[in-house]
Amino acid sequence: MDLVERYIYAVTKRLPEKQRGDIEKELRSIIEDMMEQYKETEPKDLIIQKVLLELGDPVLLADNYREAKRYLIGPQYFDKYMLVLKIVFGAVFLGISISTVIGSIFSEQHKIMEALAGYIGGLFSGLAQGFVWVTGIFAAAEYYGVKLMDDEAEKHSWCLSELPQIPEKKAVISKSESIISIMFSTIFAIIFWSASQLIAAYIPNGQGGLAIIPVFDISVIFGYRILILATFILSVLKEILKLIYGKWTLRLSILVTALSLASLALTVAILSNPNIWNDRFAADIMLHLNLNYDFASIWKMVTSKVAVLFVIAYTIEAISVVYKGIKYK
Amino acid sequence: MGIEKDDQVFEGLVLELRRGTIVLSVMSQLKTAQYGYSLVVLLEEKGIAVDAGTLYPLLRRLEKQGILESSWDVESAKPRKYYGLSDYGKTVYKRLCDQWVSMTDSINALINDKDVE
Repeated sequence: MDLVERYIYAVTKRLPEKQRGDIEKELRSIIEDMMEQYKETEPKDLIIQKVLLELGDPVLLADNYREAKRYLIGPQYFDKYMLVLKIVFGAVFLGISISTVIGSIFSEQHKIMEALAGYIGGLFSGLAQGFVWVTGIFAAAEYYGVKLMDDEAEKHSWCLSELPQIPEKKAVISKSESIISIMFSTIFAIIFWSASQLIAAYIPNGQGGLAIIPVFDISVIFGYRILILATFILSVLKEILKLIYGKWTLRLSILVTALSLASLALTVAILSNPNIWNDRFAADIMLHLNLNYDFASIWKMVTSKVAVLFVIAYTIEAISVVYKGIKYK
Repeated sequence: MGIEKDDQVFEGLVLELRRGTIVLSVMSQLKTAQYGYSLVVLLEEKGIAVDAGTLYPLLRRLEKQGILESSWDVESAKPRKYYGLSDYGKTVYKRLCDQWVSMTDSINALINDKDVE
């Protein structure tokens, strides 16, 4: 009877908890009934094998019992999922490669094996992270998206006016724009996350080498890396939404604006701390370039106004997005 | 196209055709309650072969839709789940039969009409 138990288990473990007991009982009696059609003289093991083979693959049987197919990422999202995954993988690969090359060119000691190990490790964890994020976002879209559509189908029957308008040419969102945007965000996030000292001014020091003057205070910016990561995720999410919708609608424009506002808030929160800037930056620049005007005060004004620039840029974007959403809804 | 592939396509089409008739076949035999295996035997005797892995889940689905009623018979030595048509199931069955007759009439007319070529 061991095979029978294993067969029943193979079916019921794939079913919802509350159906298991009843189906288990039913399967057991079905199998016993089916066994009775064979002659008593045949060995019991053989009979059991024949019966179970007749019932078929337990996975298929469980599927039949469950009816509805379940997807992590269903056919409606799969193409877009693959597209975004490829983009993110490409961007992670480029970003880590670039930051490794730049990092090893300007590093003091040249240990090739160490650099290589770091590169491979970085690639691996970067790709794994990218995979988890993209898959997670799409799985959530699938989970909530499917439910949303079921609700709508229940509410009313379909009518002609629901047919979507063929979008005007201008309402179509360019795919390449989103792809490039995701690539740059990813590269930028990786550099910030793993090598923020590389965001620096590179000035020849007169002895054939380069003086590297980081723009940010590494230890302070390091404390903000979760916020920076969150900003990155918000902006990638925004582009994924644009890819999924494919054209401007009122709903998309509202979603995109909300995400933009959230990422603006995070950016301003980071920039509002004056200590993120390397306080020796201006002095070092003046030293190395032998400047005879007051670069320090210009730099100070720039850094204190960067947040304002972000607000202006985001506002312009938000206005144009909302305008497109209303115009092409 | 090879003969083997030809056969595969044909088998697939037959399967599809038969799938639509399973529900009607099953309902026709459940005016008196049957347990799963006796139903398989009944259908087989009348020339309708039903895959066991399809039939049992189908019975549960029809029960959920209110077409079948079930009860566990615990009196006998072996407990068995009996399925039979509910009142609602009986009216659905009558209407389905009407549909079947008119459909086969139409299709027979179509098939016999185009005997040329």
